[in-house]
Amino acid sequence: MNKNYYKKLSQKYLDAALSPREERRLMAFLSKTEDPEFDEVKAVASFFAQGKSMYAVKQVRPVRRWMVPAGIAAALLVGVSLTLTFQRAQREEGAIQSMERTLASIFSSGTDIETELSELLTP
Amino acid sequence: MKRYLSILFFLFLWVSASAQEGLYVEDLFEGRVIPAKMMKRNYISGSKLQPYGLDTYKSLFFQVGEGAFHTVEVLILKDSYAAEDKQLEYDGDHLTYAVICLPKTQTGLNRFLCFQAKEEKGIWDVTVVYLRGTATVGDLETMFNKKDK
Repeated sequence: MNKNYYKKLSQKYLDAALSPREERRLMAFLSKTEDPEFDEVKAVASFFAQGKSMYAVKQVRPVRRWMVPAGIAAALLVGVSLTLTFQRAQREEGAIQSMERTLASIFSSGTDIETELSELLTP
Repeated sequence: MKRYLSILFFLFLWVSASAQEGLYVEDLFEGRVIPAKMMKRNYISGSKLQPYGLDTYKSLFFQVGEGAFHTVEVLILKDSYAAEDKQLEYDGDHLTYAVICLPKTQTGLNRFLCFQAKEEKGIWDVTVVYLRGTATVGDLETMFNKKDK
């Protein structure tokens, strides 16, 4: 084990000058060593590790530019299709009601043969 | 060639089934007697008519003068000649009411032609209805006759 090398890495770590690869190497070393000379850097590293786990901000996926107009377009499409479906249902209902009125007018208008005959034949 | 002929044949069958199957009033429904824009038309077909025992309902409403009314009257009367049962009512020389049971379709469905006309100051209000379905004239009277007996 090259103690001086890790001491250098520790110093660089405290100066926030480590590359990610060096940091991984240093953390692997710190997890194994019992050398009191590394206690200070271990304490700092564990402090940051705990802080990270406690206050880590979940990465929220950014809203992409195309999502807003696409959302509005989708909402409009749903709205228009619902309106058209409703209007179609209303038109169909109106057509059926008109049919009922027309047929009621026709089948209620004809002369009732029974009534006419009874009027003729009743003295 | 055979394939095209069979397509034409089925197209012909479909057209003849969808029209009023050789009736004189077909011209009226097609807008060839009175311009379509002068008529109020209501065409319904399909499952919505099932509760009434019908599969096709076509109605026309229009207002016409004496000459056009006479043409329509003649078409109705011509169709009534082939009728199995009919009820025709006249006011003077003019046909004012008709319920005509036409010969059945090839598939055995009942067909009816109904006509109602009323004159006011030389203008005729005319309603013509074509019905097709399993319902009989008795069924239609039961369903739609709202007159107190």
